[in-house]
Amino acid sequence: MTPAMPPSAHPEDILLPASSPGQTSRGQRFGYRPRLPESHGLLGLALPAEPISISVARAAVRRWLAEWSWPAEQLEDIVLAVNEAVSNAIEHAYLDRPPGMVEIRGAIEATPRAQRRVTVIVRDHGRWRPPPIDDESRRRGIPLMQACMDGVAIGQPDDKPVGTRVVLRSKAVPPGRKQC
Amino acid sequence: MQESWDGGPESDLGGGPGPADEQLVRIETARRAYSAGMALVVTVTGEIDLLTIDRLRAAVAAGFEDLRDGEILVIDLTPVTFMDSRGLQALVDATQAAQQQREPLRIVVDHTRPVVRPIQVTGLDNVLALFNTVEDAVHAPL
Repeated sequence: MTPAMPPSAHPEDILLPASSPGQTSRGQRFGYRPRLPESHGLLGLALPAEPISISVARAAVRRWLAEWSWPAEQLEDIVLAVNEAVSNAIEHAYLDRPPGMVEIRGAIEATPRAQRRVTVIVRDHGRWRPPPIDDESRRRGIPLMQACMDGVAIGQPDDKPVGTRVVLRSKAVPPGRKQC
Repeated sequence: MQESWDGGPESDLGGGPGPADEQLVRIETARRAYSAGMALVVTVTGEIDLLTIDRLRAAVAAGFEDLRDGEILVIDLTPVTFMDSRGLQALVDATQAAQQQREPLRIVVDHTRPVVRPIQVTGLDNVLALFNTVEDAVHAPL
């Protein structure tokens, strides 16, 4: 029997580490690479930082949340927010260096009063891009993320002095059952 | 009277698109007659994002080029299934270009959430000339 609610945990604690250097075969680099079974309420993928990846990221987030019966409007808000974070990484992270990967990791968490929410972390290994915004696409993108989410944090990863990490925490929604 | 052509970058603006962005978005420009007057309607179908935004910008630029005296330029977004902040910025830029060139530009959105949601949460419903149908857009006084 599948539990309707996955165990609560912070995605940084439970998701596998980001892309490791050895994995450069074509299928791994350019396919989308689930990290852990989505049946555990987790999403994990790494995509090349190229414009074509953005629709793949949206489709993966949609499929993940639809599987968990996420309410349609909140689902689309999460897709919008993840889209902005991933787009910014694709456009800006690797401007001055060879293109790398963008990682998207998500977890469904229980909240007080038996609700649930998702936390999605979008991370790259390129240039650190602080939030004060001077270019126009990011100027509109960050308010859009903030409007769609309960919390948006943009920072540098703790473990490495490169890259940008965006943590998106969704609004809480009523409990729902996993669609089998 | 109706002429139709693809206003995408492959027409004469260079930067030919690959097949992927053509699958995600289709942009068609058509000259249409209404009782209130003529309109050049740029209809966008599909997803507006990082990959497809240049095609939208090129189609709108081509629309301004081809606009004849007395015509209204309409961007019809009702078949759009996804729009991000880049799409919002393209609409703001088109609106500013229209004001500078003194050309009438109107944007059509219906009540479907993929377009309305990003416009509303960023407050751009107060900035953009939005209408529910192409007919409404053409009939509205200048």
